[in-house]
Amino acid sequence: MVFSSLTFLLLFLPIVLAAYFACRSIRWRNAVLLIGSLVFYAWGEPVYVLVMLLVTLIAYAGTLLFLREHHVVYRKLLFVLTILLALASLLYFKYAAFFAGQFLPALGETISADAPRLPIGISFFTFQAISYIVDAYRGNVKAQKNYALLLLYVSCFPQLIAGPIVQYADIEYDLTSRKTSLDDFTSGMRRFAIGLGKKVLIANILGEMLSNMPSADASVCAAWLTTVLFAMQIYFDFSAYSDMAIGLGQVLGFHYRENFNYPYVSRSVSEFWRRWHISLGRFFREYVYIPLGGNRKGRARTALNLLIVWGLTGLWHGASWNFVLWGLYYGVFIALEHGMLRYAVKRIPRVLGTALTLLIVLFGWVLFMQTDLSMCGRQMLAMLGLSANEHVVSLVALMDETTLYVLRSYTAIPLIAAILCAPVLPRLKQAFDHRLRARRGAQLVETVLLTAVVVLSIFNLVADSYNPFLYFRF
Amino acid sequence: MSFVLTLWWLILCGALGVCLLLFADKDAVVSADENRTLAALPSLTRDTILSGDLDEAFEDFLCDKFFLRTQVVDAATAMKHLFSALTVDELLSEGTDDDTLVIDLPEAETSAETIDTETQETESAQTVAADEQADTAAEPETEDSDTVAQQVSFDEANVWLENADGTKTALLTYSGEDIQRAADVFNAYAAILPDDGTLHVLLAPRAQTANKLALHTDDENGWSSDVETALSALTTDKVSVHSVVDILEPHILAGEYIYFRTDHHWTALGAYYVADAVLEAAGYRTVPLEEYQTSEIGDFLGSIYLHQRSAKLKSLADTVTVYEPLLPAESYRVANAYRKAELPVIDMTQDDYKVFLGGTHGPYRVLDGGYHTGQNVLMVCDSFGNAMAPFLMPYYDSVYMVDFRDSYYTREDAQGSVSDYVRRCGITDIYVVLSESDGIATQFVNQLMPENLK
Repeated sequence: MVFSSLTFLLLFLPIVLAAYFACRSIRWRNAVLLIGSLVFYAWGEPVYVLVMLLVTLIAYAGTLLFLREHHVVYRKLLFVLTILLALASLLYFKYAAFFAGQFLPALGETISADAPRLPIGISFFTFQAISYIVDAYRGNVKAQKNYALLLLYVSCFPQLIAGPIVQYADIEYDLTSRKTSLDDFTSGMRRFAIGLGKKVLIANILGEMLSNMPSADASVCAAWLTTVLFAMQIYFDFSAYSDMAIGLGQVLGFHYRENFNYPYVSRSVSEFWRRWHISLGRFFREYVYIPLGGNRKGRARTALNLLIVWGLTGLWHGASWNFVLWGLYYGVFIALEHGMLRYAVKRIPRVLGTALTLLIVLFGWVLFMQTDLSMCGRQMLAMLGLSANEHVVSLVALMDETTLYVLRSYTAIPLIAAILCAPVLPRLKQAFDHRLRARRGAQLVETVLLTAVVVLSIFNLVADSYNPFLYFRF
Repeated sequence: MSFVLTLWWLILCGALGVCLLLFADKDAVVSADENRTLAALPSLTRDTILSGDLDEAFEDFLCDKFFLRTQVVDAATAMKHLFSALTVDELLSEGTDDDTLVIDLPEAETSAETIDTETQETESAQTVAADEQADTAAEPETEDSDTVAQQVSFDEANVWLENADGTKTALLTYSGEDIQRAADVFNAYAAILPDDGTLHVLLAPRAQTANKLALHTDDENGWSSDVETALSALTTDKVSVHSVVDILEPHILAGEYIYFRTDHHWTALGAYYVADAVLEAAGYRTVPLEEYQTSEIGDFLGSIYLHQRSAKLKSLADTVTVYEPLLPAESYRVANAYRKAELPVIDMTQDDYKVFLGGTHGPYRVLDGGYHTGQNVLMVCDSFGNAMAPFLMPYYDSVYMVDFRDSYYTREDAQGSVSDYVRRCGITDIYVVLSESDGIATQFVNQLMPENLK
């Protein structure tokens, strides 16, 4: 089930919230939430819910086992074993076919196995389980002796399918002692409505527009528009889901960390990644980069660590070489920014920095969106005004008819989306907050607008608009 | 205040969801507007649950059975158009080279003023017809009563959907005045033909109308039309009015792919069946379909999709099947009755309905199929004629075509009237092939055809 569906909006959410708030004790509320979360997942993945139960069981039992062990070596062995077992399902479902296809032919083996269907959200719930195991091993959190509570942490429906990746330490207290309030309820639902609007009214329409675009190498404009549309679609799609997750968490009494912070206004690539999918960056920093030595072992080692982390970050997004290249691409830029470009990054004018970062990010999205590397090359060349056919390089047309038609068909939405990529709304809110009278007016306008957003989102879902969800595959 | 509002919203959403489950129609029903079957409540079986299909099927059910769905879909579509620089007409015509989707059906009751005007115009059209007959009649004494337009009175004529319970639903309704007016125009056109020439009238329903039958074959017995009967009664012997409805009915009931799902045109197969039936009725031994070589173009999304932009309709993208001409064929743009620039007969560079003849080109065009029959035909048509024209090539030396709509035709470009073209190009037959958007009671028949006749 996804948030942007009528099943969720008209049935699941009202029923679960009614049952949740009808319960007074935290124990009953947890029971409602756990059952609701399992139904939420099983509704679309009735068999693979067992995978999630198993991963949680491994994390639960493994942690209890290695924490009980006093011998350091055995304890470490059990810890590594627990991590490997917890990762096993992710490795099998997401990477086994890819690596087998890459390496077995080199050994003279032939395989014809298709990749198994990926359980929804497996990358997210596996990483949450790992976060718990590592934190427990480090002594940052206490081992959870109640399997149901650990399962609730892993499976809690707001963040189950597409994050943010919540670290156990962040909600350890909330699991047993959280409080709900009218203010949290209202602002959580407001945040949810904003996310719903971003997803249904912007991301979906951008996706629909993208699906009507010609081949990305048709013309210079086609190449750039395809890239820009994808960049905006993936931002609105994913950040919308995070908004909805954070909002629902707040309604239920959980306080998740922000996952996006207007990444397209970053003035460096490093800053972009501090604003984009923040929870993933934090996970890799704490559980991979720092254990590898971080930046404490010299420049060369730091660069290597960065490349490892970013290679893994790319691989986390998908078992395909283009994702690995995409990760390494950022690894190289971040390594440069930490190394020889350190001073240049600090001194570059903000506008120029933002423009250059945006350019780098856009070329990065080409690597991300095109799993076919030859198409990826053609799109990048077209963005530069070139096309290459059989070693002959020529100029590509500036504009093509289909792109022009698509632009004329969806004129306003990309412009609105582009404006909303910048922190315009928070600035407006800030401005209104300084004036009490204006603030009341702004609240009224906000209420009316959000009501309209919800109604229009439901209308669009009923009309069966294009409703893909990009981060499902992760 | 905000909390109360939020709470009310949640309660409203929940109530809506529960009401949908309780009161919405649980069965699969057909939406003619959307050209597809709306989802039924999925059955809870072990297989549907374990396969994970229940999620999607249930979501489809909620979307498809949402209260006031038609209005909601219209509102969502209107909102999309609001943010577009293209007008609705442009959205439709860009992709399909054709007419608007929404047609204005004639009013059942016409005001007195309108009747007066129409009567006058009818009289003038009859005068044209009479003048033409006088001009072209080689032997005036043969102009007996059979060839004079009959004056028969009809209140209205309909295309009917015949329900299984014996009742009928009118799909299209035309007033008696409209029928009379169209008959007069057809008579006037027939009158400019040689004595042995025939004017064939083919009024084709659009996909939206045809699919009201095609999607309801479980509940409907078929469809019928008394429009052709009414027209036949009012036209001369030189006019042969064919019922496209009758021709296509068995093929629709057999579930054949004769109309597109996402576009308002018929497929080439539908056009073939109609052409074949008309030619057989005219005494020709027709070419079996199997003798044509075919090629296909997939993922065609036509005007109905462009109007709605529904993801579900997108998943029903059409395949355009093209029947290659039997002999090498050529096509030219024609002006002043002379061949000008060469045009494609089949244009495989197109990925939509424009694959047929490369779309409509004006003012006239001609197809030469490499046959020598001593006969030439003129098609007065809209884009429905494009898929049909190639099937006429084996029976005529040249197939001329004209589409009077403003986008394709001006009298200045044509440099001659239809009468001039008939005379100079040796036209022996005329086919009027019009969809319901350009048929009876439209500007095409009431205004454009008469004013370009002379």
